[in-house]
Amino acid sequence: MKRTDISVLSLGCCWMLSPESLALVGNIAGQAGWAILIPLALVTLCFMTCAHLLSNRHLPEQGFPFHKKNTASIIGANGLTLAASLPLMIFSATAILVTAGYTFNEVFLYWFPNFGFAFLLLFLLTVLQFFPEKITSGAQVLFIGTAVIGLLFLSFYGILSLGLSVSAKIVPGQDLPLNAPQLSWHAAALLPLLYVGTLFPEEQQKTSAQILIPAVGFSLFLLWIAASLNHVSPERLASSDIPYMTAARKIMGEPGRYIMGVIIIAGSCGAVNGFFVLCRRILTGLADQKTQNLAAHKKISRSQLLPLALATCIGGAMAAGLAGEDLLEVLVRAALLLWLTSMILRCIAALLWLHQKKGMLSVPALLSTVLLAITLPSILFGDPEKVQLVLCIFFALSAGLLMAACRFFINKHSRKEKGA
Amino acid sequence: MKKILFLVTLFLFTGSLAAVAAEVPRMSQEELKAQLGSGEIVIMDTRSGKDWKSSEFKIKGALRTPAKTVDEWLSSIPTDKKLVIYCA
Repeated sequence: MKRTDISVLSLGCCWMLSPESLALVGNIAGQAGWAILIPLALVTLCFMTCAHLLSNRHLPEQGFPFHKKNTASIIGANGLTLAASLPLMIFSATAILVTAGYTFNEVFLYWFPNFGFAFLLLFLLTVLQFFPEKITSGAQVLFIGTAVIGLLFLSFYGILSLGLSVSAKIVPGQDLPLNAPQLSWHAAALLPLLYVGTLFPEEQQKTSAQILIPAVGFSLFLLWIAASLNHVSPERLASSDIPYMTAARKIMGEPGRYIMGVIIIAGSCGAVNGFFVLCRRILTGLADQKTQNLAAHKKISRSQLLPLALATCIGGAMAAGLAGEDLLEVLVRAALLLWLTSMILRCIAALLWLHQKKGMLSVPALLSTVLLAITLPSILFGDPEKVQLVLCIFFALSAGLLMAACRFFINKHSRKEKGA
Repeated sequence: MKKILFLVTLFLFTGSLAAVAAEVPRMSQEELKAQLGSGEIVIMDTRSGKDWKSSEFKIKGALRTPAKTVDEWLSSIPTDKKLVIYCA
């Protein structure tokens, strides 16, 4: 495997190995039991198909939106991109860093303040963005590699130490217990949220490694779910706020906690660093950016202001106590939904462009896009805080469109001045 | 520009130090463990949101007393016992 492929894989896996994602997969596995595996495999196939669609070489180099670009389409596309990426970076990083802080405090050094560690991680990861991309990519591989190795170790230990759990086997002729795990539609609809970040941004999608990212995620989730269900009751997994730690403790006792602590901190660093890198690439790849001169393009790609601005927002959110508010989780869910919507719209735009301009139609890609699109209303209307969720999405979209519009007209004005 | 970037980075780092600098009376894990179950202390867990969910340690018997809903639980707190507040 080439070094660039490893780099792409580690970047694409940034969210999947975050504590948020591991908690989500643990809770859904608890609710659904082994029944989670088939819908998870289906969702994985959908994402791989969409990745294959978006990496189609016939798609225009300029990226989303693929059709002729007028002012409205540029502002709309950029606005959606900004709304899908910046809130995700800021709010999920806040949640992830707080979790990492608690993990460090409770697993390793109880006298070290949890928020102190969260801020320390934020500081170090921000400083990392000042180094060349080769270093940040290398660090990303280290973070994700550590998390993967730890998770694989715990998973295999958990599976091999007990074999398949007796409770998972169904005896013919015997009724299922009344409280047997069942997969609800809402739980199944949440599965796409595990694969956030696997399709970012257009320039990075034209590699075959991009298509493998969901498969890597599925393999890891499959092994971890098997190990967790082997040792922890589904009810406990479903109700726990930190199912990954519950499972690790049951699998290997105190050493399991330490290993999971390392996984969580490495996964947190991978998620936050990954989002820093992706956000910088997204800003570089905005719809009208590629039409500007190369010097301006390079200037933005080397700019350190974006990571600093993002870090300030994250630090401000932590200092303001956002981690103690239920609103933070609603904001993270809203950002995940916006990302999923953005991805689905890109797939629809790609399908339309390929059909209209090239006479090509990929039925698997069409079915995958439709299936993922169906999950959106399920996630939205099945959410316990649906009103707050809708409001957060509305404000994020409005802010994204406003930023995109300001940026567009400022750039247009400065181009006119240079021309004059 | 480099100076500005350096100053802002320094500011972020200083902010992280502030998170560890606050001086409040504290009780150690060992002191608390020794008094658990004695009936002489009341543990109030004021954590909420992610602060609550990210933590592995939820003390058995602790009262969930988020700061935002203080009016709802304040009157139920016994005043004749030692209050231990478990916060983020």
